[in-house]
Amino acid sequence: MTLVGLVSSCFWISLLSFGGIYGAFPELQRVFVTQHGVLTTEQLIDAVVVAQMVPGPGMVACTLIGQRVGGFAGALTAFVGTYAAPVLFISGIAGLFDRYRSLVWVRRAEVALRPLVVGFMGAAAVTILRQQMSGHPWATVAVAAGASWLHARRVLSPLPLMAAAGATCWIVFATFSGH
Amino acid sequence: MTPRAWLLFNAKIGSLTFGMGAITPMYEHVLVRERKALTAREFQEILTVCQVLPGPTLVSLAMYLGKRLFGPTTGVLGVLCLCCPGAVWALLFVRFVPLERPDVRAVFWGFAVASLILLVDMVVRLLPALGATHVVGEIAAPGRHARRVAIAIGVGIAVLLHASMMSVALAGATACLVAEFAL
Repeated sequence: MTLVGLVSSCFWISLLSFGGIYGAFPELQRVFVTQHGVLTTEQLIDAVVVAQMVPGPGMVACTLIGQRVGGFAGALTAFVGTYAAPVLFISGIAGLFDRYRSLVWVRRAEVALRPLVVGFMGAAAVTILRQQMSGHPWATVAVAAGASWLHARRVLSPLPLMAAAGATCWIVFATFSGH
Repeated sequence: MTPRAWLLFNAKIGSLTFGMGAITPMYEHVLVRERKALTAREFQEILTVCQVLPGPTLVSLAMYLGKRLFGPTTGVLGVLCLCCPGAVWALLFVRFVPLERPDVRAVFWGFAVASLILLVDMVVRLLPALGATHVVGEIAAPGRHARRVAIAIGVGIAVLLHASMMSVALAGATACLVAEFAL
């Protein structure tokens, strides 16, 4: 994949994404895993997971994908492509929306477009579930059940929850692999 | 608020704050309550516009606010201040953490399962929003609610069948707007 292809893909994916990085996940998989074959689904999930663990917008996952594809130049290219999209779009239409933003139809449009966000994010959840279940299905179910319980009871906030799940899996790995 | 303070504020939240759910209230707190640069209603309207428009909401919000308050150049610099720290952290992370080692893979596998739970929770919390209207506290008619659920399922299935995002987003957005305004 060329840097031009990378910047163009990141630009369009960012511009058309609804629901942040998870909304963009299915298209990232379609373009980078299925179409160009420059990443595995596992590597894509790694990028999304790292993006959850660092501060700032989750779209930083695209920068990591760029780094995988083309090193530092790829990271820089993907960064520019990802963030140029909203910057140019908002620059172009902000004045227009500034004039009309209080109109009822803008608020109605926001409510009306929610099914898109739910659809994209739901598809991302199914894709990640499929990938995790393909490796260790029973362990996935067990860790997911524990994490769900802790999250539902508000015992742990998101970052400590991820740390606890990671630590649990590491302990299981160390126990069964003899490390 | 000066442009310099705006850039420093973006750099601070870009370096220390995780997730849109945490960052958006910080913008509101600083711009509406602390600096009184916007009214609460203005902020809510701008946030709604950024949510309606395609693209990452947080970045659109930073650009919109920066451009509106200080002009386009400061708007772009604000986005850079917001996004660069996370990118640097992420690149350092993948540079120094050996992701291919089996024990690190095990840890990441756990991270991915936890992320999945957080994502499912987000989707579940969004579901009631499909039955709402633009008026706070008002519930949509059952027919409208059912159409929205059907569109969400259709979008999800189309994505899982590897339809391109552009075609799904365009067709889905058209269906959403027709269902809201024409039916």
